[in-house]
Amino acid sequence: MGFKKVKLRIVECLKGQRVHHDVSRLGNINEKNLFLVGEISSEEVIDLLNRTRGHEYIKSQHHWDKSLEVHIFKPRKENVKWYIKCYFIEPNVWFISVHR
Amino acid sequence: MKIFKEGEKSKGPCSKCKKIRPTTFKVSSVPFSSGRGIVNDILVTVCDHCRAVVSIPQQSTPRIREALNSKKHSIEVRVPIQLLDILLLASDQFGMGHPDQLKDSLLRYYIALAESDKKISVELKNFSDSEMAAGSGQRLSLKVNEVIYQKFAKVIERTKLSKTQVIKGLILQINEDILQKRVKKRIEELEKVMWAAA
Repeated sequence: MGFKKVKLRIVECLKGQRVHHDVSRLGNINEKNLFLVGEISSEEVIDLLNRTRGHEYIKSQHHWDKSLEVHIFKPRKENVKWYIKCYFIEPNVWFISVHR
Repeated sequence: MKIFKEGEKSKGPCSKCKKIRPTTFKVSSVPFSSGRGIVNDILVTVCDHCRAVVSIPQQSTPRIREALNSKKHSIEVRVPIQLLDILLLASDQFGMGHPDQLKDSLLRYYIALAESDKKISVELKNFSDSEMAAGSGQRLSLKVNEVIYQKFAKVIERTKLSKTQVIKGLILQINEDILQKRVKKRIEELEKVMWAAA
């Protein structure tokens, strides 16, 4: 999937609330994930994705399951750099982290 | 919008097994990674193989947020009696009884309003300097959650006023909107808020 299709697919999952969040390695709530703890909303994540330009996006592999493609977005909003890291296990999107 | 149910099956990457495993939605208590506490009874997925927590669905976020925000802050100031009377009179305008209880919701609403509306922030300084704001005979104590407290802190930072000046300014803004000018749009909006708070 290309950059634009990935963004569209994430937005679809967000609108349909087909969203999972990874837990920490010890199975705890990762407080750095501001989306998981409710500090930012789905609408704000969509806004950040829409602000992301092609050069602010990269793909990598999941650290232990190389079959999973991890999508990393690094948009800027009001001079603040954001970091969004997620992957798909259809039909859901899985967020590793959303933080400043 | 998808709502996951307890007992529903899914699949996900179990970090303990290091494999994509079948999972089941279950209610569980999950600690924060910082060690600051635990969130009781949230929906999570657990690995069908090793029973480790694999993920937290988005629908559990309000419970996590509530656990994080359960800490209450107290805003304590001293104001003249006429400002307390304004708060009680404005709260009583909605005809729901218990103005003393509703006044806290009214103030919380105006803190959030001042944080989002820069025009109101500007007005606060003028109001807090006015003759009506002079005096400090009565104690006013307002309990707020973390979110409202942060908004209050932002208003203080933006206006460079003290917390007492901000509260005095907000009460006089309430006087202007509800008792003096009777701003229809604001009163209609507040009526809904007050019903929820009553």
